[in-house]
Amino acid sequence: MTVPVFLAALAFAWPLLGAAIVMAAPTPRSREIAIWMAGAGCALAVAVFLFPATSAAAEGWDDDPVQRAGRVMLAFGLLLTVMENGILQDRLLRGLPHISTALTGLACVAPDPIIGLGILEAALAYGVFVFSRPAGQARAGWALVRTGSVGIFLVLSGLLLPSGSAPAGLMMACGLVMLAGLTPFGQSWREENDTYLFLPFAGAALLLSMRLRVHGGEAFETALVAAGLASVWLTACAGRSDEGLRLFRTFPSALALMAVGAGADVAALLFLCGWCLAGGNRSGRSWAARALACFPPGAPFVGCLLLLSMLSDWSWSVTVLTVAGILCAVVRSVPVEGFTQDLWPEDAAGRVACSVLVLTGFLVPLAMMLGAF
Amino acid sequence: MTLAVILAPLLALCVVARGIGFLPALGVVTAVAMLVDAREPLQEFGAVCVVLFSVLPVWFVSRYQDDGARERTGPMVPFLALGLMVILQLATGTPAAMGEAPGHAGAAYLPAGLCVALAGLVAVTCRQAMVWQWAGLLACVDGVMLSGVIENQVMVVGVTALAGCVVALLGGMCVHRVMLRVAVAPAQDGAGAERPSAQSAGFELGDVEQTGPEPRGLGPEAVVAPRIWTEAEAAAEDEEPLPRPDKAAKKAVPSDGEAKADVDQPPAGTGALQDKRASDAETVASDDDAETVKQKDVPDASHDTAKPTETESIETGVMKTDPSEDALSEDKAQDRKAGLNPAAPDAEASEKIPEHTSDTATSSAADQPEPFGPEEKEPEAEPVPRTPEMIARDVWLRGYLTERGRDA
Repeated sequence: MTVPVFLAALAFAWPLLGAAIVMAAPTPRSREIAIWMAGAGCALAVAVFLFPATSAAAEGWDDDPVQRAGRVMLAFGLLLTVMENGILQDRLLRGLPHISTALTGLACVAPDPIIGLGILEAALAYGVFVFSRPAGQARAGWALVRTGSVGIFLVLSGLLLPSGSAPAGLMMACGLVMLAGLTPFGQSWREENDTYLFLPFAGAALLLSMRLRVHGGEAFETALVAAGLASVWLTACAGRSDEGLRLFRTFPSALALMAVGAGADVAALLFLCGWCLAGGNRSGRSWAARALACFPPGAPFVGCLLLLSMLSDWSWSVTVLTVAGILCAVVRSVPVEGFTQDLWPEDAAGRVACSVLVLTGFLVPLAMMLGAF
Repeated sequence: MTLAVILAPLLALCVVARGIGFLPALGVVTAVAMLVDAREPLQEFGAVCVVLFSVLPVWFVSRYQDDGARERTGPMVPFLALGLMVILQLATGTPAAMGEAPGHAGAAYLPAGLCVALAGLVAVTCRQAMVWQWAGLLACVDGVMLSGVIENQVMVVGVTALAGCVVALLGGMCVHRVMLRVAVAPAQDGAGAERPSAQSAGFELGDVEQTGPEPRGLGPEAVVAPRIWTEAEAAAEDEEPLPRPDKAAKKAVPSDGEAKADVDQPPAGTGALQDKRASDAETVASDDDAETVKQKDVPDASHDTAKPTETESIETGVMKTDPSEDALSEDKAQDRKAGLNPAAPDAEASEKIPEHTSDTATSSAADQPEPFGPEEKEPEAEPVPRTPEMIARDVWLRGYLTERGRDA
């Protein structure tokens, strides 16, 4: 076994190990241990990105650099989730972000996207089991199972249809939109702890959609762009109401789905970085709102530029609509209070997130020019 | 194409139109449609899975009362499903659409599995009753499984089987938590008096307010009242002599007395309860303080690792097995090894019939935390101490003291 293969295997097993250690650790020290384990997981993911296992591609395991970079983003999302949390009393809830990140990372790398869907379903089942244990949460848990399973069944139905046909593409696109939680089509994740399961789950759905594009064909791409555009415009129309803020949470995933549809995988990766580090329930903070609204500097801003350059090749009218939608959403939906303050956040988690966002925004175009992607 | 393949979408439409009652028929027809063409292991596996996922949930739901949720969806829903099926047939079933696809060149075929899955998706999306949505998801499982078997896609069949397990288990948990048990025969004598307790035990008070309009005009007090009555019954039955005198003689006397006191005053605070137990335990085994501390910690840990469904099962078990308490304590000795693994009884608890479930869950909840020791203690996940927990602790205490007395 060579070193890169060992690193790749360790990177997948690491979050599970972290979950076991965090759940077994005494409660007062659990947060510290979780941060160390998640940080080591980030280092491992970066190492796997830099030193890919070349033999893995021959055996069918995915070795796309965008997918590897996407798993780095998932690992940083886990680190940020752990840093933001206080000390959690519930052991299962404490281990949930580690387990869901491990399972979704495994789903992204599985040799067949169908297996990835199965692993996603398992991650969903475990998360729902943990979430719905308290009294009164049974129906909320059932709603999560229902929406996630509908998405997975839609994608499976699309995969059973002939490759490249319009019904297959439409079904797969609908299923992926539901799995990615794109408001208003997807999950109703409104709980405070939705990031534990939802951030990696939606990120894995985005990464899987890049791999399903081969099977989906043109209808798949068009449907993804249409769904993303609809979500962007609904965000713009909803304004700053509660509904609008809920829509604004998934703003980067809408743009990422558009990027997947337009074939701009690197742009989708940058939006995924924005989603993992600033999405979900962090969107209320000013630095996160700036990142989500594609303000420079930051990964979503660079991703926005890349997306628009690719979309202009795809269709001019869609490009104009996208630009108008993004501008309207930024003007109408971004939370106003404190938007220009707090340029450098006070808390450690915010600082890590801002640093990673800015670094990714600089490094990814550089790597693209150097031919890494 | 066989008759079964044609019948399957029709039965799926019946599921959309009428509910979960048609699901077993759909499952059987789907299994027949799989097995007619070939009898390979893939087909047999798919057929077994489909039958299991279609029959077991319906049998499980039949043990609960109809939740009577008023469907505001109109009669157009089956027609929506039918329209989608026709569109799918036009898009994929014609020779022109499938001309370039391998394996179907030139022949019209019915995408029966996908039609069933579409009907299930319509039921999930458009129906509001939880059981109906569950039926829709299980119809989806049937349809995708049928399609995967016909297309010979092993991966799809495997993933669908996994998804079916997830849907069936989590749906069953949800049904168990939000629906009332079916009323059995009315109580006639002392033995029959414990039956209503089992019916009300599957209900969770926390869900009464959460689940919107209560069906059949049943308010929370209607649920609470039989529970309190049941506790009074259980307390009264505790005063009767135990059925097997040899075991009763071995049993520690103070434990029985204290347990009665606990049952008589269920609304007492948790702290007071634990203090009482501490003194109780000291009367039995005053030389082992560490054991007493562990004993106080154990119920908390057990309830943290246990699901709420298990909590309800515990309640069921308590109320049903109170008169035959010795059998319970004997079962505990056998289940102690099984109780070492907290995950296994959890998985079993939602699958088994209530009598067995209650015994397993009760004994596992009582026994499983012992190997983990006092560091397993965690604060309660549910802030409000509830009656089922107290009763579960009570049963645990009795079993524990019986075990200790037997050892001594």
